[in-house]
Amino acid sequence: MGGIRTESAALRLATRSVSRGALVLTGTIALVVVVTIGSYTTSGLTASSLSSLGADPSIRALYGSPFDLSTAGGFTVWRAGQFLAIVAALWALLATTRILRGEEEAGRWDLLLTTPIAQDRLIVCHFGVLTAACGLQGVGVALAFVASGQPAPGSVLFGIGLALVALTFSTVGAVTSQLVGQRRKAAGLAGLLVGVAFLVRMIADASNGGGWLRWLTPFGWLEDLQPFGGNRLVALVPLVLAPLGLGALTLFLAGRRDVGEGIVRDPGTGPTRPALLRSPIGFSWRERRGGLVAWGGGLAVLGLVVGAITGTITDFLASNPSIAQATQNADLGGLLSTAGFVATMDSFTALLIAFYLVSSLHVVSEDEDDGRLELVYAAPVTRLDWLGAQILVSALVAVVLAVVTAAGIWLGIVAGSTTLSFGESLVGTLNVLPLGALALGVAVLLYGVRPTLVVPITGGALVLAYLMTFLGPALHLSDWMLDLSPFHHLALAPAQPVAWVSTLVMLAIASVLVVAGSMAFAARDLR
Amino acid sequence: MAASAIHIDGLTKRFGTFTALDRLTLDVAVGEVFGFLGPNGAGKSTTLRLLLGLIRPTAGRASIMGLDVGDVRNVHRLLAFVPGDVNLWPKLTGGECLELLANFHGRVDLAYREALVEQFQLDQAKRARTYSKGNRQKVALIAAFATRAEVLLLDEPTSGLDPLMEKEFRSCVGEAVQRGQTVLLSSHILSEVENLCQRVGILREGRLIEVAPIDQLRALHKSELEIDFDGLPPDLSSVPGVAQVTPTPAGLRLTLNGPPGPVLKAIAPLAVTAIRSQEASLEEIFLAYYGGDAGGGGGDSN
Repeated sequence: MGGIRTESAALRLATRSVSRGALVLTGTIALVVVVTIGSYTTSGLTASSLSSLGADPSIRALYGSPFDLSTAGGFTVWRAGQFLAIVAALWALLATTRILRGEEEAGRWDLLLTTPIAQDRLIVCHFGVLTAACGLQGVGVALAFVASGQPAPGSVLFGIGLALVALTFSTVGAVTSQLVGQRRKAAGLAGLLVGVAFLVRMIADASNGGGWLRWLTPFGWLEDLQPFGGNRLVALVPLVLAPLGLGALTLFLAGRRDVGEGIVRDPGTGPTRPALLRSPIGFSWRERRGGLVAWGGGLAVLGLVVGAITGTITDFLASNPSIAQATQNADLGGLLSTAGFVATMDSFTALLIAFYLVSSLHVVSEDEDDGRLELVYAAPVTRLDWLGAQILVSALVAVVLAVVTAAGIWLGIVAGSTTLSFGESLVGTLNVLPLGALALGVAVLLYGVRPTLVVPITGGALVLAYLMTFLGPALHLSDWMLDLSPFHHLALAPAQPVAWVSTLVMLAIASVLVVAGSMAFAARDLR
Repeated sequence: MAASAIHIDGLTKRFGTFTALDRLTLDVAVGEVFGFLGPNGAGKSTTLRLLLGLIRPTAGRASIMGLDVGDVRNVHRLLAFVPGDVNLWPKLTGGECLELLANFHGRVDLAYREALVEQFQLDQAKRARTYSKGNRQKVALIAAFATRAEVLLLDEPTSGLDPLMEKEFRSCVGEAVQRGQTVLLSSHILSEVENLCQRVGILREGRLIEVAPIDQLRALHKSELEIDFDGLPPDLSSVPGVAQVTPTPAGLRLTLNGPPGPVLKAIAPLAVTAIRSQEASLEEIFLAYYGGDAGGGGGDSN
């Protein structure tokens, strides 16, 4: 029997652990909406000029089927809606598995559940907070549309739809948190389902006569709301029923398992595989193999999709004089050629590879936080031995990721109508690696000085730099501000030759940062 | 005195304005088992972390087997460490953790490790994630003893172990001592220190307030003597060393400050039917150091 005090304490706890992420995400999504609406109104795009683009199967697969290209709102829902939904869904499932499985895995629920609160009530409290967090994103998006002068009904409908898609995948994460005992597995499983749901939506939109498949996936339901177009409310039915059903399933499953375990019990035993336990480098590789498969798989698929749409996009841009002019004005003239479009996409690859490197260094920081490194450093292993091995393996994985992405892009392009050699594709992705090196350097420096800042500062700086470079011209930022972003100093290879001076300068700065950070780490107290 | 295995000279560690360790000077001889006693937060772990180079001293220096503790690559070949709270890689099995630690240390007596796994009854096939605290502790203990390192730094090593395993731990320390290994054992479990250590250092609020052989520590403190007489008990209150006299149904209870010789001499001519003596336990000594002072943070005497 939980009193009001117990429940409100549980609510405050859950709020504390998700509120910051929810606010940051809401702000980012709202910003993207405002900028996309702005780009539609200033570019002079019309429904007729976009219709050829909206009819192309590969474009439809990526962005979804357009239901209204005649208004800025409808265009924005089509152009950005699916991506915002996927980002919101991923955040929701990560937050959910973190508080519903991660906390339990760490043993903290053992403590909570000894207070006068039953497990189902505790889960319901967390659901309440997660619902509010998803709702916040919906409100933020709706306000962004309305503030940009779009009609209220479509704005509100899209906001509700986005929030419900996020909530659906939050409850998917809640169910996987009951099924398996480890947060990583629960998040991986739920993430896989997001991927499958998106893939079903892609097939539904790209194929002829496969439109009914849209009814199988939350991303399809969001599409079928047709905000600013048909404003069809019927798709709200599955969007409301899914989280309710999954929430009920969560409570049902939670009552049938032991605390600390999933429904599927992990035997928790295994054979001894000594091969990669001999040296810090071997162990570092062992720790990163799984990450390489996951990131490599994701980047390869992304590369394939980018490659597949390259021909269509460049044709579309070239055949619309007004857009051609606009892209030239925005310093994005390279977009008009195959190599140019690929180069622009490679900047995004750079952002993702940099994220990988930051997360890879975060693992070292986690090992230290969890006290595992005491035993390592009590052996004749110096701090530089250990950190150096982690940095080296992370950097090698980043290079492999660049090669894998290049292969994906190349295959996607070869499958389509245009041509680009594998060599050119490879030059494009390798060209952006100095940016990853720079991110790694900053991360190592922060790790040496203030480990808790590795993820927020490096991650934040990366996003800011990326947005400044690609939205900067549209926002009329001055040159010195653009120069601050390292993305601005990357040549658009393979459309342009590699800017060797910038490349070497960035690599040199990265090396200095890595050395300085490593030295600071060697000198500081272990936590 | 034999050569120092551990030499600590004016070692000081401050975190901001908080002084965790204040000018610690100490020598531990080769082959000695030295007990490091103190309540939580007294600076025991801080000392060990400084000796391991995990944290950097604010002032002072320390060496192990004559090498400065900053020389990690060489010093750590000569030592093994067991923390009080062992954290392992959740995905690795116990066997893999042992393998990893042995490889990183570079020195392992494989036959002895097998024997230790038997002795501590560790299931090596289980993943570290599924281990209880006691089992994680066993992994670190096995890894440390199996190195046969010259110096063992043990930071509350038996926390979480059951009494049977504690007994195994004691026998391992005994074996290490017979081989001439040096042990620095930090603990707040007094019986452990009492049974294993030759000398004890007592830390309080970052300061070493006493270093003495266990016998001497006891001698410094009060002991109790109960004497039963056939007939009326004599007046012993003026005998040297007697602090307090309380009558009992059969005789007297004396509290002594010092050796019992004078009392024995005084009662020798009398009709004594029984003598029971109780030496001060380390626990009582411990409480005497920490218990009386409200500012002392209280003794953690379990």
